[in-house]
Amino acid sequence: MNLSDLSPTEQQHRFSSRGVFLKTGPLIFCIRSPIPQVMDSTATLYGAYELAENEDFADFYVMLKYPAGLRKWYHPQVLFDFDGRIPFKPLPASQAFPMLEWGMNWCIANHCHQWLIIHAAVVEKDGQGVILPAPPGSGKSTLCAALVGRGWRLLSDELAVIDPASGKLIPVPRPVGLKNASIDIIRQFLPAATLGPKCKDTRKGTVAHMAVSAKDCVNPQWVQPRWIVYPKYEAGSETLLEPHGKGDSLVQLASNSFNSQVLGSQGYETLARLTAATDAFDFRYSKLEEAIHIFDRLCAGGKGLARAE
Amino acid sequence: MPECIRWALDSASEYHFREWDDGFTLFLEGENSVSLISPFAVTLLDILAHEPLGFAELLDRVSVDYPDESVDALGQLIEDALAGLSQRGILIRRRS
Amino acid sequence: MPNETSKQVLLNVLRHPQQVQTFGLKEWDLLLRQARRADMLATVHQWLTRAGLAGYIPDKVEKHFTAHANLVHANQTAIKWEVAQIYAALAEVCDPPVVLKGAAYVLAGISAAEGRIFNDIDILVPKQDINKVEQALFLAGWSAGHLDAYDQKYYRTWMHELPPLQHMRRGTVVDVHHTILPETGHLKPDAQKLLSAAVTAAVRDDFSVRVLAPVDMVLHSAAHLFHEGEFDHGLRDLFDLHRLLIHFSEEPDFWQTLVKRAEVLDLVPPLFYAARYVQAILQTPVPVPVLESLNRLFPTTPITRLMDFCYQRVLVSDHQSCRRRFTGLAEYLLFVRSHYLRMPLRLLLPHLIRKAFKREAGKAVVDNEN
Repeated sequence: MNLSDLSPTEQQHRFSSRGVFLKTGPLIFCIRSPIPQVMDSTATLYGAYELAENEDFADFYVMLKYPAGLRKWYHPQVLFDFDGRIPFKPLPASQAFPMLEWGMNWCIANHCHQWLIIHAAVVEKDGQGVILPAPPGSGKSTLCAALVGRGWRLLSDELAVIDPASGKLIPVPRPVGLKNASIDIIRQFLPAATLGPKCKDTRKGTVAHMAVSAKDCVNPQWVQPRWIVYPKYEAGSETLLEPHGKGDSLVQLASNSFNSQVLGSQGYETLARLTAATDAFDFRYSKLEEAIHIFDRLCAGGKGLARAE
Repeated sequence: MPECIRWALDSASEYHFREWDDGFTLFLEGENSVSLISPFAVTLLDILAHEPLGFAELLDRVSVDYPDESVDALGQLIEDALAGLSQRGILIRRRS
Repeated sequence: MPNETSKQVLLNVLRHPQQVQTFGLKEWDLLLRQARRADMLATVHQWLTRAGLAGYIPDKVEKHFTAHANLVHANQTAIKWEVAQIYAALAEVCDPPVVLKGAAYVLAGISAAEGRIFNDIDILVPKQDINKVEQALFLAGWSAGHLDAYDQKYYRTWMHELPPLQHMRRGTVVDVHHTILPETGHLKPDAQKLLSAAVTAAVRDDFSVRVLAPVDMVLHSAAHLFHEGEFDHGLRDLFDLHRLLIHFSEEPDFWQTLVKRAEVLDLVPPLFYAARYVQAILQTPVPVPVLESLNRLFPTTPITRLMDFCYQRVLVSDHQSCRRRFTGLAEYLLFVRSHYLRMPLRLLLPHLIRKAFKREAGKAVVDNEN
């Protein structure tokens, strides 16, 4: 059963009582909130997600709530509650839904040390995974949104989750977070995409989230990583894919990883295995249409593609 | 560089090297850091793995592997490499 | 009260691990939540594995145990390495320092370390060496960083301690002690006695460290727990004590030596509370003669009843499902007590007022940011 199979009244009832048990990849989140913005945006962006068959267990229990006291009416704020703990400072209530998204990412990145987790978007086509690591301003999310709008499967727009035993990528699909100018760029590029409401003045600027296609939401298939692509958006630049040294790529992945250091030698071994199994590239782009074309060619087996471009 | 200083590997750490197309990654177990280092730095570490050495001794040993470099250029290379390696905790300084 | 104890899944599993054989997913779920909150995921995992019950753990739960066990493994490797760095830095400066608390359990291979993550490393050095030690650690990269004048004074003048020293590259923290309780406090254990009784533990063939003698290690753990003012991890720390007692009670005369040593070191009260609560809460087999002699040395008073009221509420998982009526009050009373034990009122009152003021000022900054 999917979230959208429940009537709006039933959804509202669950959000404000026992919680909605949502499945994303191998994880179950129990989400509670009395806040209308959280209920509405979750209904819009998570409608196609499966509900857990069994409500006796969740990996993470999260709640978005108003602080006690008068703050509910005067400059209202919102708190992220992680099973009774408040790990972050409150945010203005208007940012309740983005806070849920950030909080869920925090749950995964800070607890799932059975996996190696890298700050990166992950997409897949024909069983081949691409990891897009994410220094801020690289346009990773824009590129990721455009790719999934054109037939690539989304595994995650924020967290590359790697199983150390098999070296494979584990999907934890969630709505794609878009910031500032990229919101309108994607609205134009993908007119059919479902976008949640814009939320202004967050610490990342204006943000909005794009819904994931219904089949990606529920696809549990793990993926073999093939390429690491370091994207860089540069206004007016040519579309250019160039090889990136593997040793340097390993160091970059380590510094973009949430937990390779705390995993010690196991973390390093997993990174080294990933590096050996993939080819790394730098990718400069300004036009999404051309960018997607290059990715499609990469996927179609364009060996030596980098030099030919 | 004063002669009373000798350079050594950290005997408490385990050094894991891997070769790639653009150099070597070195994972220091314990410190849990990952660094990309040059083949030249690997040569230095290889020499120092046998015994701690002062700068002049190190220069002697390295010049065998790099006969075409001038002593000044090689000295500069070693100095830069030592500074980078010790800054990252890969080499330690010992006073003798 | 049956309802209240049946919700204490974590505590019940620590007492009687066999219970998990009848667990449904709902009980496992609550165990996971309470153990995560108590910072005991990998400890519970080890505990169940030792009891031969690993096969009962459902996959969904197992992966969270594994996640924590991975962290623990890397953390303990790093602690051994970090202590080796500290020993190297101090090699030519003073006698090898005595490693305390969690790092000592890890290095000496004591079962209390199983499944535990320890963030700081605590070492004990003779008081006369403290400046040399600070200098030598500074040369090796550890420094006190930026503390305001008030905090510097708090540590150095009142607590007679060095502030925590942080390594500039790795961020790891060393706490250098020359005594195990603040000198301004009511109890005054003689650190010299601890140092001279310290024993050697081999870590590897070519590396060994000094740790406290078994009885002293237990007394230090007890003194620490029963001087604490915050109990986010009260159950975890009590379980450390339980495992230390079980581990060392295999040594002959351990219990008799323990009580005598508590008298010598002026640590009877914490040992009294430790014995009372490990037995009451974790059902640790403390021999009756030991309890009797502790009762003679430290007779129960109405205060003991108040302490029972408080500790039974705070020495549980901090998860919301474990909170009872008056848990908040108990936490507050123990918080005030811990400060009272640490310094005389003439120092305590200004200190609490200043801390309260700083906290309010901090809150105001947060509000403005939003």
